[in-house]
Amino acid sequence: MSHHDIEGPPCSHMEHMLHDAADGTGRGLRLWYALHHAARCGRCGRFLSRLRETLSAMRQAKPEPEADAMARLKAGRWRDEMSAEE
Amino acid sequence: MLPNVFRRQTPVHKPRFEDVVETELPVLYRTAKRLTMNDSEAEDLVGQTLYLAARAWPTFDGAYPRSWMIKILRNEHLGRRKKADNRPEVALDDVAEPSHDGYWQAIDWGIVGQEVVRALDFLPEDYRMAVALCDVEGLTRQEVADALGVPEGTVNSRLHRGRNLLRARLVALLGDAAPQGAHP
Repeated sequence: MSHHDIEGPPCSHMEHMLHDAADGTGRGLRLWYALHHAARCGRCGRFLSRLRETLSAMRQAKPEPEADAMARLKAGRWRDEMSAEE
Repeated sequence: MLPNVFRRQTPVHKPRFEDVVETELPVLYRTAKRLTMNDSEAEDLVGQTLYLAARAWPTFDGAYPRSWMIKILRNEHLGRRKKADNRPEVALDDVAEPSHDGYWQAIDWGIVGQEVVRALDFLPEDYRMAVALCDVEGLTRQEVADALGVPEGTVNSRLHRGRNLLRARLVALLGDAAPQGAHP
């Protein structure tokens, strides 16, 4: 079954495959089927494109840790442990 | 996915610990922040993780250092929480149940990435960590499974459920601000 409208949830049997297609873990026939279905089903097509946008936004929005904290951690007591090994 | 016994038979060139720290420190810090929700606790947790990792480094085979260090970090966090046993944690009941109204379609309008990342902090820990490690930090599902000490299938279900909870949170955060009829 596929939907002509774009509002509403994706087809329930497709949701896992759409998640996998969106984040790049989908492979082979499952990926082909997900993309093929999404191209014809309005809801699944919109779901896939929105999920991809959201994942892309998350990957690009990694907050940079505070520089002072990084410097303190790089000079932390783990260095003593490594020196003791040598 | 191959079981671990096959997956890790290839000899691995073991990097220097200092180089691993340089590469993984931001990931560890962000992960600690997601676990503790607090800057100073996160720094302390990462400091202890590095110390424990440095001690265990001679016995580590060098494969997948990121998930190995996240596992140490998470175990340390769980140990501390067990001792304190008073940390308020986001419960699943506190999170809006994903409704089907609007679904992902209700979001966007030029989502600002930081909003998405902030919305992550409102998810229960199990879901928050699966989404953060896979979708923000880019670990594979197998690496996340190793880091969290759960089967890969559990990571898959937490990931899918976590994304749906995140969507519900974003709809709540952005829905009111979104112009009506602005869906492309």
